[in-house]
Amino acid sequence: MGKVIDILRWICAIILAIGIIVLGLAQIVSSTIFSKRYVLSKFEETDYYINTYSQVNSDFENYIYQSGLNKGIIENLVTPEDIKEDTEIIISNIYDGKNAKIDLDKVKDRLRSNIQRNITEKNIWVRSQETIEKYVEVVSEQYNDSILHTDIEEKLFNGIEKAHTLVSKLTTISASMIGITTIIILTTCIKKYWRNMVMLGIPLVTSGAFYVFMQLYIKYRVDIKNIMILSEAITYTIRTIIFNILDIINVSGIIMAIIGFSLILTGNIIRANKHKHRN
Amino acid sequence: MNKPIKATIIHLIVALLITTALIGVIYLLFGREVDTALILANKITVDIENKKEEVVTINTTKKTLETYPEYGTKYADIEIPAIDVNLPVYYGEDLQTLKKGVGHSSGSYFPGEGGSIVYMGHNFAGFFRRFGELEIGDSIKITTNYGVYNYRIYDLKLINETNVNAIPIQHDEEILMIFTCYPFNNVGYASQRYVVYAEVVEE
Repeated sequence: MGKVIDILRWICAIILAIGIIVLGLAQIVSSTIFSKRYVLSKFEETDYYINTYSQVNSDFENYIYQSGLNKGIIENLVTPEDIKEDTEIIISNIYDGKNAKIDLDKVKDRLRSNIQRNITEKNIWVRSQETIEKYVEVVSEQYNDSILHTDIEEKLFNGIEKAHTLVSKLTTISASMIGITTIIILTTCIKKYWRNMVMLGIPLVTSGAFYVFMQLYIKYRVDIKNIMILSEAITYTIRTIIFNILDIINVSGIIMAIIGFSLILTGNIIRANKHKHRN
Repeated sequence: MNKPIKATIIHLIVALLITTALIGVIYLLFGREVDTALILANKITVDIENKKEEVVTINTTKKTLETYPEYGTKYADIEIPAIDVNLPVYYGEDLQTLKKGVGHSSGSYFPGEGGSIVYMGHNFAGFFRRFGELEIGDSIKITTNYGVYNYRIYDLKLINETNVNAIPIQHDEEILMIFTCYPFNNVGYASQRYVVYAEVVEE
């Protein structure tokens, strides 16, 4: 009977380790990439709005040469505050499933007014007002592209929502696994509580080692510091988020391993002392 | 060795063995998916520090480049003496590239490959502002690091920006097509293109 219980306890320890790994990862994902607040805080931390502002102005500059007008026409078309406001709209579309559109009219109005001022100041003859309107359309669309406001926001929202549901299910399942296995481990050996400490410590060390190995493996296999996505501003933010998540995994792993090690060591010391007293 | 420490080491080894077993099981079950995900993640990486500059070379027998220039880099110079144009040619057609010089459409062939070569440039002063002064018979010279190519203008056309048929990509004969925005002194968005067609001048 004793051996059966021992086998059951070891099986429970392995299931407990799996539960801890899954629950921990689900929690890390929920509190980072699935959290709108976390993503916005990373945008702020990585100066995303300022960097995008520079990028947007550089993109606008590309359109000056074909306009026949001078550089002044792209001055103050957008501000970092506009970019922040519009980025928050995009993030809300992705995370909350909203379908808000970015107000391009303010960009168009400012551009029209800059062009008119330039035309008047330089006394430029305009062949057709139509070409100016087309130019205003093209440049304002460029702003839309530069701040990554695309049609895939709805798809991203659906993807995130599905992943959210999956993570919620995994959280419930892993939490139940942890609860049930812990109860089994504790109740099958109530008197020898030091053995329970060891039995709970082992899954913690296992999970901790798994986390540390996982983040080292990802860092070894993926050249994160050279990842390039869309614009420089978003690339820098994404790299920061990836490194931050891997750091969280690493620190969580180390903490779990330390707690597990302490439980195992304490359990074994208590056990040795009990044996000493008995002898 | 102290008994509790010995027991702790054994338990730690057991814990690490379970970790190894778990990793092994995950690798057996999802190894391929994990590998694919990591390979895909590496596809979006660019190692700028260790990037080597490619020297463009041509296989003259096969009439094809052996190494291609990297997108956005300069690989040639273009001279059009009739309008005093001498500009660098960059591989690429985005606006960032066109800011630096003449762009080479990435979907077209290179000089010496025996197909359609499509170049484009802005129409402001110093670039192609004087394109309207070009005439049939004027010469164009392209100097690359793998050879010098001479062309003679045989046609000039004004097209709508959406008329891609006017700039056909083919591999039967070497034709250089250069276009710029029209009207040359336009204000706003120019929706027409002025195209110059040139054929190879055999040495």
